[in-house]
Amino acid sequence: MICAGKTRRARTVLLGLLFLSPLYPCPLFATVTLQIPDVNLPDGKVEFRPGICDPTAVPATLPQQMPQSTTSNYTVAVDLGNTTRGSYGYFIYPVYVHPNGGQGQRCAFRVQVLPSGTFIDKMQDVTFHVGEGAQLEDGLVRIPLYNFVYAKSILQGHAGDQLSPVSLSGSTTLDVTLNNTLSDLPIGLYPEVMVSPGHGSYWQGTPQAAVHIPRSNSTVLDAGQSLDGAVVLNLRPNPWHALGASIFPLAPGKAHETLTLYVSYDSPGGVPGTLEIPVAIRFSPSFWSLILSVFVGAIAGSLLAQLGKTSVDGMKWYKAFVVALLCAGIAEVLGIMLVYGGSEFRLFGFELDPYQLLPVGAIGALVGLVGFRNADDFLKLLKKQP
Amino acid sequence: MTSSTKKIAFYSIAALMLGCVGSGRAQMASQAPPGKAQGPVAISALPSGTLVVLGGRGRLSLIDSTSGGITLLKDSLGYFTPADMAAVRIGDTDSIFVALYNTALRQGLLARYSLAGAQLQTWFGRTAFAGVAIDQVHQTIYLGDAVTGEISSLSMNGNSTSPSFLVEVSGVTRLGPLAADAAGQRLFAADVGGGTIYVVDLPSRKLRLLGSGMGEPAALSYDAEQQRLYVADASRHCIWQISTNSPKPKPSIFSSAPELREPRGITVDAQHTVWVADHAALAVFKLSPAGLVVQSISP
Repeated sequence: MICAGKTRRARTVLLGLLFLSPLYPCPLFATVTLQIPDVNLPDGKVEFRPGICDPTAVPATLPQQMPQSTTSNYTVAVDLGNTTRGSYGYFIYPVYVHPNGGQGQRCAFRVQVLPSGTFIDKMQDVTFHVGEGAQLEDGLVRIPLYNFVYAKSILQGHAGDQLSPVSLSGSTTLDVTLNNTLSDLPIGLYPEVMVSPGHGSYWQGTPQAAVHIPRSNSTVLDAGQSLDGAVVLNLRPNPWHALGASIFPLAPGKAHETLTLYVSYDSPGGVPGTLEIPVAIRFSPSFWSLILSVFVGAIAGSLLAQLGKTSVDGMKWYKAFVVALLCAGIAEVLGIMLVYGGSEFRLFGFELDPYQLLPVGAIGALVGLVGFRNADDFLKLLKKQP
Repeated sequence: MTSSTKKIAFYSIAALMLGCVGSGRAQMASQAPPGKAQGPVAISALPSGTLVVLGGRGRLSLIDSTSGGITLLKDSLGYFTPADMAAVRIGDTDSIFVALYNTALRQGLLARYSLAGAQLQTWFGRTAFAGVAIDQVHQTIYLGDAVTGEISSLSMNGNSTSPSFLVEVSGVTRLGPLAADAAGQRLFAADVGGGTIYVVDLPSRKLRLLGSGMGEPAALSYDAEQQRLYVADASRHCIWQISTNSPKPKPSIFSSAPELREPRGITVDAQHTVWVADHAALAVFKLSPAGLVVQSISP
């Protein structure tokens, strides 16, 4: 009995010495324990490592906005407003434990959250065990889990059209659609959007873009939201440089210029990212520019026809000119309608873009050359060559 | 798209994002999201007495350790997220090396900056970089991968474009900061999840446990003359020290000053003064030999 008593006393003294030793300089304040088991996800895993209980960092009351869970004796709250990102692939979540009766130890835990795998940020029910000594109580709290490496970007975006038409003169506004692929978390967008033009000389100054969410002062895309016009791109081409870039014929599906937008975002509490959105541009002259071009082409074609004496049936020059002008105008309008309807517009078997100045001038010239002969000649122009 | 095209595209984008392309597109850094005050996450001392401080969102500042004067080099490093930083004098030139990563590109980037803030050089890694340490004697950079636990090395003498594998710290929860001992040909590595410190014998590439029982060893700094390793413990709000020449090295407390809230960076200057970058306190602390805070600077 004496030996047992001595042993107990010695053990107590040893424990006391150990507690006071420099190995425990960061005080072990209380016996409240928090355990959070790992969360396994289909495409990853999250480990939780609660630190030691710090009673000095606990707020007096737990704000209702914090995700909370109550067990028989404790309320556990996660302070999502104060999560931080560690430098080496982890997050820190402050977690507060309050005794329900008001009596007992309050604790703040600095929980290290270590994600791995390629899962995207999501809300998740996380189980925890809290209590003193060996008697721990179970609870469940729903919190966001963030990752550092995604299989694909959590924000996606594209311009409205595959090939966005931009007027050669004046300013054009283009809408860009953004899509939040997270099913249960919002994505915050930074208001400034950087625009990088492929050719700076095509533009008057640097093209500007900005996030534009209909609700005032909001730059948040809700969970799963897809919003047309979430980014508005304002473009003012440098007319002569843009004309130079677009005057030579190019297949209708090809871009004259590609701008890249850099949209910065994060899921609040997660890691910031940048989405790159390429916007393919095709410069398009105004309708009146096209009509002017086709008429100039028709005049040139008629003059050439007169010089080459290709007129037949003794038709007067001015009559041939009027016929050429009309036919060229009809050909251009027909071409615009055909292409607008998804068809091809061909002249001598070549696919031409009736929205571009040089091809339109060529249409006018060709029609001017032969447009006055007869309807058959005119129709032959439009046939696809074998 | 061919792999070379992809590579060119990646390099261009990365260079663009870092604001290093001299084509008038270098506005990216200045357009970085305006954030809250940036708590410092790394600190490194140059022999001249200048301290380099890295903020959580990439702000680079210089502190004159004598006067406490602050010079802002960069407010952001583009849209890359900074992980770690080391400043070093090689020859007559001071350089700042910053390890960065990007979630979308899923690749790490090591960038070298001049003391004027100009980006001089970049290297890319297979995966995300984390800790960085420099052996200025052998002109070698060591880089850690937080998730895989791999440590790579990169020679500054040669024309290496990417780091080569050196050793793997197996079983590590999260490989964190590194510190190099040039004279002893050793590398120290911390497991920020497990609270342990390892030492790698570089010639043999053998690894052994140096210390354990810490909370979150978020930064390391080695004082070569005193053969002492300092460890900033972010979760236990204290600074540990380990005498590495001891036959059985054991961590002991160097400082648990009440000002320490979340020490995430640590460095020892030429006078053996310990400086701590505290993320939560938004401050850089100068510690006395007894571990007391004798000066506080807000970078």
